[in-house]
Amino acid sequence: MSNDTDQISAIEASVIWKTEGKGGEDIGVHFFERRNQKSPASQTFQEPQKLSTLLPVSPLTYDGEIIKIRWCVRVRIFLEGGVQITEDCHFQLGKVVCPKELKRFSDLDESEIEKECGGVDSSGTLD
Amino acid sequence: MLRRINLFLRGRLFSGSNRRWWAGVAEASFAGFIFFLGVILFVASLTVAVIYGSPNGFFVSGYQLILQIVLALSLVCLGTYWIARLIWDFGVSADRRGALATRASELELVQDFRKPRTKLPAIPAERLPPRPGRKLKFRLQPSPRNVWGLLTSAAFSIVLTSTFTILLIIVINALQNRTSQWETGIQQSIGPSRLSSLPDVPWIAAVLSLPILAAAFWSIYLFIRQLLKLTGIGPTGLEVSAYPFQVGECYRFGISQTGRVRLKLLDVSLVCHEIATYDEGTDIRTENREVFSKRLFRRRGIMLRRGQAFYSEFQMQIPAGAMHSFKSSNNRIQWKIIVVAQAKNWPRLNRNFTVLVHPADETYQGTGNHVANPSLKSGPSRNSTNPVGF
Amino acid sequence: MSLNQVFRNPFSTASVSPGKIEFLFPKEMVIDDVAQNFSRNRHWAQIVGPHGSGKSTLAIAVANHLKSKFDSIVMMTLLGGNSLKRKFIFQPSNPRKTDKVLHVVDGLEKLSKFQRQLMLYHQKKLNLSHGHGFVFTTHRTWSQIPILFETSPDTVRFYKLVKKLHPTMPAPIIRQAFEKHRPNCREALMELYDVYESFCFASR
Repeated sequence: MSNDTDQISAIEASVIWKTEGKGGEDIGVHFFERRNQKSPASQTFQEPQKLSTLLPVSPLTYDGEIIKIRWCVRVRIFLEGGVQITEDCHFQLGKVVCPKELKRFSDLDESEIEKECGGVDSSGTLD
Repeated sequence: MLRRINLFLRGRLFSGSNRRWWAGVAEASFAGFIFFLGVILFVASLTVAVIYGSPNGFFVSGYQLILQIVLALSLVCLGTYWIARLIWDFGVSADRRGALATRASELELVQDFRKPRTKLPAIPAERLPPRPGRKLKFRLQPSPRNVWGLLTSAAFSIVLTSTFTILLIIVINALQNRTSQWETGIQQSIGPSRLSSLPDVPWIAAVLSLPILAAAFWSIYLFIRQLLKLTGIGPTGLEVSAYPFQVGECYRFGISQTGRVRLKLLDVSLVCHEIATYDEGTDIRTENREVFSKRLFRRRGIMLRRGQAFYSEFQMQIPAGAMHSFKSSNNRIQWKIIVVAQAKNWPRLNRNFTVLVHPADETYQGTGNHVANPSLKSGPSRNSTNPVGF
Repeated sequence: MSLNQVFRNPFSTASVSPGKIEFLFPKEMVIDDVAQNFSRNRHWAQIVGPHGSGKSTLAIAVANHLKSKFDSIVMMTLLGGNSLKRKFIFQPSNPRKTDKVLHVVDGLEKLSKFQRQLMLYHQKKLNLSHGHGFVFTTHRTWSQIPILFETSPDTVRFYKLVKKLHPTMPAPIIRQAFEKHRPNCREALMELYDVYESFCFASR
C-alpha cells in the first residue's frame, strides 16, 4: 500500500455494523468520514491516518444461530486511476454469549436462580 | 329473577370474574345464535320478496317487508356488538380498568416508552408501552390477538347459511305450489294423468341444500370455537417491578388470572427468538428460530373462585451475557413472555407479551429507573467471570 | 473491544445470493455458449426453471459476461402486484438517456397476463429501437420469448457448488440436503447453513 500513496486521491473510513446469517444483509453506519488531498486532517496520505469515534451501546456483536451482528471499520481507498481498494477490520463490541452456550442457563435448577435473585415468596393467593 | 334480568341488561351475567365455563360457552353461543338468526331472517326476507315479487316491481312492497328487514338488521347488529364486546371485555378486565383509574397520575411515566431511543440504535421502539400496575410498578400489555381466523369463519358461516336459506325457500315454495295445485286438481276431479302438468320439485336445489346445511353447521361450530378461544377463561395480567428489562438483571413478576374455572395448568416462560427474512428468488421467506427458553413459573390445579383473582409472584433473571432486543430491516431478535393456561373442556390458551430487553448497565448509562426493587439487584451474575453468569 | 478473526458461515445469505456464487453448467457447456445464444436472439430471451434452481444466478452471470456490450446493467425483481425492486448491477459514472441498458427481469410469472403483455410490448419496443437487452427468468415458458436456458440442478453440480463454498463438507450430508429439497438448491444451502453452525459449535 505504501508504494501507492502518491496515487491516492481520497480515503473513506466508516464504522459500521452489519448482519449476516440466513436473513438479508442489513448495514448500519455509525461513523463516516471522507478525506482527500485538500482535507485539513489528511495533510499527506504518507502518514498514518487516525480516526476516533464514541461507539454506541447497541447493537452488540452477536453470534446467533441464524443472525450474526458484526462491527467493523471499513476503509475505502480511491486511487487516481479510478481503482478502489476496500478493507474491513472487524472488532467486537460488548460481550454477548452465543445462544447455544446460553441454553445452559435454561437447564439450571430454579433454586439456583432464587439464590441469585434473593428469595421471593411465590405462593399463590386469591385476592 | 329481577336481579338476573338486571345483570343481563348490564351485560354482567356471563362476564367478569363470576364467569363459569359453561357461561362462556352459553354467552358465545347465544351471541352467535342472535347474529345468525338476523342473517337468516334478512336473507329469507329478501328471497321471499323476490319469489313473491309483484308484477310491477322486483320486490314486494309494504310495511311487513320493511319491518322484517329492520328486525333482521337489528339482530345482526346486536349479535355483532355482543361478539365484539365479548372480545373487548376479555382484553380489558375490571381489575385493569380499576388500576388505570386509580393510578392515572402515573401515566406520564409510561409516555417515555413511546419516545424514540436515540441512545440505543437498532433497539426497537415500544409498540405496546406498559400501563401502571396494581401491585407492581408496570403491567405488561399482551400482543394483539389474531382475529383473522374468527373473521374468516364468520364470513364462511354467513355465506353458507345464506345459501342454505335461499335453497330451502326455493324448495318450500315449489312444494307449496305443487300441493296447492294438487288440492285444486282433486277438488275439480282431475284424473291422475293431469298430475304430470303440476310444477316440478327443484330436486337439484333440494339435494344441494343438504351438504350446504352440513357445511354451514360445521362453519358455525368453528366460529363458536374460535370465539371461545379468544374470549375463554378470563384475562391474564402480568406485572413487573421494572421495565424495560436489562440483561443480567433480576425482576419481580406478578401474574393474575381471573375466571371461574379449574385450571389444569398455568405456565409462564421467557423465550428469545431470532427472526430472519430473506429473498428466495422473487419470494420472501421468514425463518423464526427459538434460541432460548426458560420456564419461570408453573402451577397445576388452580381453582379460580368467584370474585377472587389468582395472584402469585415469582422472580426472573434475564441471563447475563444474553443478547438484547434488536431490529433491522431483515433481522429481528425478540424476547417474549408466554403464558399458557389449560382448563378442562377448553381450548388451550396462549398469551404472548413481547418485551424489550436492553443491553447490560456496564455499557448503557440509561434513565436509571430500570430497577424498582434494590434488593433484587444484588445478583452476582453481572460481576461473575463466567460470561453466562453462573 | 478487541480485534478478532471473523468466521463467516459460507452458506449465509450474503455468500450464496445470486451474483455471489458461480453458476455451474452441465458438462461441455460454458457461459460463452449461453452468451452467444443470447446475442443471436438479439438480446431478448428467457431462462426457465423451478424455484431455487439458479435462474437469477445464471441471469446475472450472463449479464456480467456481456458487460462490455452494454453501458449499464439493471436487475429488476418483480414481487407480484405492482411492486418491484430495482438494483443496478453496473452503472456508468455519468449515465445518459441514450445508454444501452441490459435488463435482468426476475420473476416474470409474478405478473398478471395483462401486465405481462403490456410490459413485454414496451420492452420489445425498447429492444428493437434502442438496442436494450432483456433477459427474463420465469418458472413457466412464455411463447413470445425464445428460451435461453432451462435450469435443472443435479446432485453432481450441487456437490461441486458446495465444495467450492466449504471444501470439507462431507459428501453424504451434501447429498442428503440436496435430495431433501431437490430441485430447490437455495433451500438445500439453507439446510447446510444449519449443519455448518452445529459443526462450528461442536468444534469450539
